[in-house]
Amino acid sequence: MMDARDPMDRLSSAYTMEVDPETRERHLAEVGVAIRTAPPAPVPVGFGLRRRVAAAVAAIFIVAPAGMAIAAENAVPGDFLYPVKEITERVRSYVDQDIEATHRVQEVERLVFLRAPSHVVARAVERAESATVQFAESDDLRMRLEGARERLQQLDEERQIADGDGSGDGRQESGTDSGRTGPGEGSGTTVPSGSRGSTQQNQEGAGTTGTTLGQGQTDQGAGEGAGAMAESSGASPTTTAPQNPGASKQP
Amino acid sequence: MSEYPELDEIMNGIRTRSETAFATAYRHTSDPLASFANGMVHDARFAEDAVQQAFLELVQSASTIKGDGRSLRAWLFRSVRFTCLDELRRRARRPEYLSADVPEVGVEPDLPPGFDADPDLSAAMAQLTPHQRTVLVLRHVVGMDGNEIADVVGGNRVAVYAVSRRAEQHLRTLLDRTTEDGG
Repeated sequence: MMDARDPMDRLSSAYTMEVDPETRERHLAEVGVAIRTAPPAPVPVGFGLRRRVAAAVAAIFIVAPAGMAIAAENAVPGDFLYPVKEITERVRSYVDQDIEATHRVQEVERLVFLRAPSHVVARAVERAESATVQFAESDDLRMRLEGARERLQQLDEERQIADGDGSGDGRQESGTDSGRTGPGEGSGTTVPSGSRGSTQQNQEGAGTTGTTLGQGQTDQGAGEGAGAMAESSGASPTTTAPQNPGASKQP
Repeated sequence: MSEYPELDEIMNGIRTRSETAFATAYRHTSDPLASFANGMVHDARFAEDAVQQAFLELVQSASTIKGDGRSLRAWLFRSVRFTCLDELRRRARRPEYLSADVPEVGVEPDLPPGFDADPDLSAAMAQLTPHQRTVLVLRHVVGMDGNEIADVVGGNRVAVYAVSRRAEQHLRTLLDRTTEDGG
């Protein structure tokens, strides 16, 4: 059987239909039921791509800098994060006038606690002083700064003692007195490895030095108390100057 | 806004799930939607079910519907399209239901006139790919333009026209062959 009409017209007449009125009423009723039984306030659920992107952006622009700022809170001059601290400080100083002075004093305290080199501490103390003059409203900070300064002085004195011993930080090369106290010198009287830098060691070691030296246990951290030296030099064929025992510091 | 002002007006009602808005949407879209489904599956009863399915899905997704009336219409057509493609796959797995060119046993007498009035055409359509059939039905039965079809099936206007051209050609060839065989 031949159909002369254009196939596309046939498509339209073959498939175009209308929803039966009865069916329509039934559909609308069921849609109404669905609307009434649907959860009243549909909140989009799930963790869609958009939210994930938003979370990533938040992480990069909010969480990471915040974490950095918090981590920088205890930074001292010279630390990697110290510039971050300076920035946050500048912002915080708008609401907290004391913040700068407080930070400076805290830094001094921390540097002293960490036994930073004295020129570093000195610089921090300078800054702390100018900051407390400008900003501090209470005497508390000034007192803290004073305390830190005292502690620093104490440390400096200890250092000087150590340096005076010549072995305080082990900087002195062995060999200055090598004619008399070379490391290999025998008879158990060689001044041993020497103090390894800390002033505590010096002080603690002083009491035991005599016996240590006498036994020739060269690896024991021995002090350089003058009395001890006298003993050891008495037993030694060569005299070791009390001021230069570190000359024999061994690696 | 769009070429469907009646639908544009009810978009807020749809998003807040107003029953009247849904009724309006249904009145303006159910017949083309049913015709589309009918053209896809050659089954008027199924077509009506597909329309209802689309509106029930719309109830669930109402708050996330974006855009104007035209977007709503495209959303509904997409829903029906997926229902039909699922059904076609299901029938392909169970070939006893694939006899689209043979009048179905037990067809209700109140089915719309024109159903299977053109068995040659149904046979030819059954040989097209589902995508070709979708584009042809949307274009020649529903009367959409290339952009609207692209909104439903994806891609762009140019791709839609290309598919449409080839599908028309294919359909003509198939029909000519049937005519020759029959004659």
